[in-house]
Amino acid sequence: MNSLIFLLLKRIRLPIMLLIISYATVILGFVLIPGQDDQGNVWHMGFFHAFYFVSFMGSTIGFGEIPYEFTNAQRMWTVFGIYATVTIWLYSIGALISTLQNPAFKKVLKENNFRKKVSQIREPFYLICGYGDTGKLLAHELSDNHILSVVIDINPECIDHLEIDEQDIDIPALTANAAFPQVLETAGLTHPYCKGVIALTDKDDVNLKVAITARLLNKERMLDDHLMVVCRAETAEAEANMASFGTSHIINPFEIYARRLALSVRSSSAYLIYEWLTNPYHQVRTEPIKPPKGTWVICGYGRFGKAVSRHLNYVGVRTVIIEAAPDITNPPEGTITGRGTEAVTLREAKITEATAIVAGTDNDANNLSIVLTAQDEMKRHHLGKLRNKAHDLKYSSKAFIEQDDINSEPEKNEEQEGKLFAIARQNFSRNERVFDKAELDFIMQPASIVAGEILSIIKTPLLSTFLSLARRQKDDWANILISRISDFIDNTATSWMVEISEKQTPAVMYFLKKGKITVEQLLRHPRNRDKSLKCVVLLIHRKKNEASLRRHMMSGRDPSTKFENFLLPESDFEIREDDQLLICGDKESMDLMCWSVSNINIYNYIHTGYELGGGYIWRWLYKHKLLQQENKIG
Amino acid sequence: MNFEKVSFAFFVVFALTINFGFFIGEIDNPAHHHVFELFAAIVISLIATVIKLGDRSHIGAVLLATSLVADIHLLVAAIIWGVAEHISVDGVTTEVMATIVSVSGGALIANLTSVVLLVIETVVVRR
Repeated sequence: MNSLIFLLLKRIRLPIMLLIISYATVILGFVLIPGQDDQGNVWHMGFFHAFYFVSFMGSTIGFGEIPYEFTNAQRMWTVFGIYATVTIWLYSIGALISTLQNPAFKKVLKENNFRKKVSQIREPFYLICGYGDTGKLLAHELSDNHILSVVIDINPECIDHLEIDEQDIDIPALTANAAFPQVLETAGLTHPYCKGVIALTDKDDVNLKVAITARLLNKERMLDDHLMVVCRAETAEAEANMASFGTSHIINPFEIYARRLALSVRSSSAYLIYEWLTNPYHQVRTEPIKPPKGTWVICGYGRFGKAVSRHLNYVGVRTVIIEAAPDITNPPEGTITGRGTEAVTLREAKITEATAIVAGTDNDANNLSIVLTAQDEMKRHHLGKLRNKAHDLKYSSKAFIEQDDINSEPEKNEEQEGKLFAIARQNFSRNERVFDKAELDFIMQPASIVAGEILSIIKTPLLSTFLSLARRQKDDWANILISRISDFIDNTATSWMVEISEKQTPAVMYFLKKGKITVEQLLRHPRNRDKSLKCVVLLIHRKKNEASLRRHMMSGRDPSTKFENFLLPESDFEIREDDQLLICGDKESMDLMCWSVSNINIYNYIHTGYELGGGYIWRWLYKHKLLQQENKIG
Repeated sequence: MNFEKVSFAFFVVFALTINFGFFIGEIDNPAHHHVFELFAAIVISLIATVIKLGDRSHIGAVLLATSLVADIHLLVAAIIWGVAEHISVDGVTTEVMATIVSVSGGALIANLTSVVLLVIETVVVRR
C-alpha cells in the first residue's frame, strides 16, 4: 500500500508543483494590481478575495468580477491567469490519468491487491507456480473440491485469461517470476495457512528454485510435514536434485506415463485400478485395455520416448525407435533416422510387423500424422495380403487344398494384425478435439497426468503409498480387487481417507475405547445396518507402536519406516486409534460414511442396532435398560 | 553537485528563512508582520512539501512530516487572518495578530527541524 501512494506522489510531483506556482503567481498579481471600488477609489484586492477569484477562474466556473468590477489592468491579468491555470490543470489531470494507466503503476496496483487478498486468506490453500495447461487443470479441480489455490505465472496472458475468462472461480493470481523468493513470499509461501507449494512451470530449474526456497523459508514447517512441496520435473537430473533436499513429491509426467504403460502391458487389471483411483475426472473405463506385447515402434526419442522404451524393455517388449535428430538424443543402436510422419520411414521400421505405435514427439500435428500414416500403412498391407490370398485361392489348387488347415488359425491373428495399437502424446490441451477423433487407444496428456497425480496426493496422500504397494502385486490380486470394486462402481469412483481420531471420527473413538471395532462394522450403511456401504478399504496405514519399533532395534534391523501398511484388510480386521484408512467407493458412500463416523447417534445405531436418544436422560435410561438385559442373560 | 539536491535544500532552507521573516518582530504589532510574507511562506512551504514527496527513505518520511506540520500551521494562520479581516466585526486586532504569529511560530519550529534533519543527512551521507 505504502509503495503505491509514494509511486503516485512521485509521478505527479511536477504537476502539483506547477499548480502551486501558477496559483501563487496569479494570486499575487491580483493582490498587487490596483483596482477600483464602486466609488472610483483605488482599492487593493486582499489575498482572501484573490484566492477566491483564482479558485473559480482556474476551474473555469466563472462567477464574474468580484467584489467590484475589474479595471483593464486586472482584466489583462485575468486573461493571463485563465490560460496559465487552465493549461496547467489540464496537464495535471492528464498526468494523473496517465500515471494511473501506466503499466508499471498498474502492476504495482495489482500486486498490492494480490498481496492483500493473500494475507486475508483464512483457510488452507495451495500455492501453484505456473498456470499452463497443468496448472489450470489443477486449480479447477482443486476449486471443484473446495480447496483454495493461489496462482503465480510469469506469462501475463495466462493470468489475464484467468481473470477475464474464468470468473466462476476466485483464485488470487499474480504475473511474476516464481524463481524469485520475494515473489513466493508475497504469494503466501510463509503464510500460516499455506498447505503446500506446487511448482509446475515448464522449466526444471525454476521448479528447483521454488523447491529450494520453500525448503529454506519454511524449515520448521517442512520438518513437521506441515508444508508439502510438489515439483514437476522433466529430467532425471532435476528429479534427483529435488529429491536430495526433501521435496515431498516429484512428478515426472513422462516417467509416470511410461510406468503406467508398462503396467498396463504387464497387468491390465492392475492398470485399471490405477486408472480408477487416479483419474481426476472419475470417469471409469469398465473394460481393461489390453496393449499387445510384440514389437512396438516408438517415434521420437526425447524424454518421453526414452522413458517409454526403457519401461517397455523392462517388461519384455521389443522396441524399434525412429528419431529425427539422433545426434542430439543419442538413441540406441538400430535406430531409424527420420520423423516417422512419412510412410518410408515407417516402412523401414517394419511397421507392418509391429503391434503398436507410439507417437511421442513434442509436436502434436506430427504425432497425429505419425499415427494416421502408420494406420494407413497397416490397412494397405492388410488389404494387399487379403488380395494375395484371394489370388492364391483362385489360381493355386495347392493352396485350395491346404486352405482348411491354414485359414482357421491365422484368421484371428489377421483380425488383430489389421489394427495397430496407437498411442499419441498430446502436448497441448487445446488440441483435445482432434485427438479425441483420431481413434487412438491411448492418449498421453502430460497436463492431465500431472494434475491427476497431484490432486490425488492432495486429496488422499495415502493413495500414492497404496499405488506403489499395488504395483508390486500380481495380476490375480488385482483381479480380486477389481471384482470387489466393480460390484458397486458404475461410473463414478472416488477415494478418500479417514483417520481414526477424536477430531475426525469422534463417534468411532467413543466406541473404540470400550471395545473392538472391525473394518466390516465401519462400512455398514447408516440407514440400514444390515447393508454395507458401497466401498472397499484399500489400505490401513498404522503407526508402529513403541514396542515393535524397539523390537526392530533390538534385533539389529533398521526400522526403515515408522508405519505399517495393511493392503486390502479383511472384514474382521481390527481398527486401532490413529489408523489411517484409504477407502475407495462412490461419492454417496463417502458422504454417508463421513456422516456416520462423526455423529455418535448414527454410529451407535451402526454399532449396536439401537437408536440412541441424544440427551443425558435418554442415555441414562438406555444404560439402565442395557444393564437389565445383561442381568437377565447373566 | 546535483540540481535536485540544490533545489531540495534551497526550498527547505527558504521555507525556514521566509517563515522566520514573518515571525520576527513584536508579536502583537500588525506593522511588524506583513501579509505578503505569510503568503510567500505558505507558497514556499507547499513547494517544499511537494519536493519531498516520493522519497522512500526514513529520513525522507520525517522530512515530509515536518513539512506537512509547517503547512498546517501556516494555513491555519492564514485562515485565522482571513476570518478576522473579512468575517469578524473587529478586524485584525492585536490579539488576533498575536495568535497568527504564534501559530506561525509553530511552523517555524517545524521548518527548523526540517533544516536540522537536512543537515544531519548531509553530514551522514558525506558524499
